[in-house]
Amino acid sequence: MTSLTSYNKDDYFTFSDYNRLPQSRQFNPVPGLTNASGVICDPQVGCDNHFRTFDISSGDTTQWTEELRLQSNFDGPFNFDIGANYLDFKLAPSDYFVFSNTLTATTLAFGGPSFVDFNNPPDSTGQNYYDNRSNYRLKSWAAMGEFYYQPTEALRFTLGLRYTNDHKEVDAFSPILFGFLGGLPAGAVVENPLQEVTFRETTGRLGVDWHFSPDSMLYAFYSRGYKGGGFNPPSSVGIAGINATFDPEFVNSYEAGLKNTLMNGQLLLNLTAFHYDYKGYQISRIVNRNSVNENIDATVNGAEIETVWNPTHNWRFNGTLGWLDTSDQRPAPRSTSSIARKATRRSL
Amino acid sequence: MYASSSLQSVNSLATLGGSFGAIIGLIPFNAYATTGGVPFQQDPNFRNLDTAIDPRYEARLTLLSSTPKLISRHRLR
Repeated sequence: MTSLTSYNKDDYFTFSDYNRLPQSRQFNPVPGLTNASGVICDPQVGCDNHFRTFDISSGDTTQWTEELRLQSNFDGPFNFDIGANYLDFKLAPSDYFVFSNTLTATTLAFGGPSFVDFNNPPDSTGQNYYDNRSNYRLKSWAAMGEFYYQPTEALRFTLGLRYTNDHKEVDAFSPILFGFLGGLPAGAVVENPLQEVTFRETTGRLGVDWHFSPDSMLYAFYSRGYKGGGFNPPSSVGIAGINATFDPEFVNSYEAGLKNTLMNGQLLLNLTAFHYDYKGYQISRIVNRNSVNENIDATVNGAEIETVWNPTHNWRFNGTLGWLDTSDQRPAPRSTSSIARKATRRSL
Repeated sequence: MYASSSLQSVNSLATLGGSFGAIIGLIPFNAYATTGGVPFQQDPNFRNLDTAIDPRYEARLTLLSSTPKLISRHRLR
């Protein structure tokens, strides 16, 4: 029996030049906003008479994991490997700020100083910068087991099952840059309703491997896999058909192959053919300056040849040949129809 | 890709901060261009980071892990 326990705490903070180009032309003097030299003093950016944009990315994460595994080593035909795991991940908070002395000047010009955050580092209540802030929590547990039946020395059947329970929570805040234009009072924050979702799925695999000679093994497996869904950033929802959540991804995988160790171990030669049928394959794209996820259906057919040849102790030759035939079915923009795309690739 | 024109800078008027800077009269022009209108060029060496400030990159990781293993020597059939 094996126990794996882990506690992980990770803090990060970056402060950088957003445009990565210090050269810029000087500001025009604007009475009431700058001095005679065009200098404006920004609480986060400092005093400058050039266009400056900086960003801060920060976050604190903590994670607990525990996994228990029990493996058998019986002399008979039956064996097993069973276990369970638990994960508690917390990101609180995650901030991404973008500051610019022109955004602060605009806030002063149209809103007034009460809408400017004079703290440095900022406290997320200012309307003179962009702040993407959220808290995230994932609690997940799973029970899994593989059961092996080996009627002969050369033949082994495998049945694997896994039950997964994922619970996700997101507490997201809307960016309030220039919120005064919409009537937002000074010092206000816009916290969205807590989003939470639970996914419960059963997956597994079934297959056989056959060592028909001391140097060669044939195998064939069916597997069903799952990846949990989640939430999209609130500021992108409703734009270009983006939903508040995205669905889990499932794959039915059929794979068969032959593994060989030939020429007294000098030559490794593996052949594989596979068919992956994805339902809800998760893809990302940028919408309204945020990364969002969508689901599409996709199929992948492929075959691979992999070889490693060690003719002497000093020489090794590696070769891989792959063939892929892929197609996906993705939603068409501004339409209820869909677009089918197909591609075939070979690689060496 | 390696042409000098591909290393030019973004037009500040196309950015959020630059467009509002233009509205209030601070920079009613491309701030990343010379007075002759020629865009400033970024450093062709991507390993060089152009910046108006000293950037800060900080990360701290605390990791505790334990992996006890219990082995039964009792053989079962």
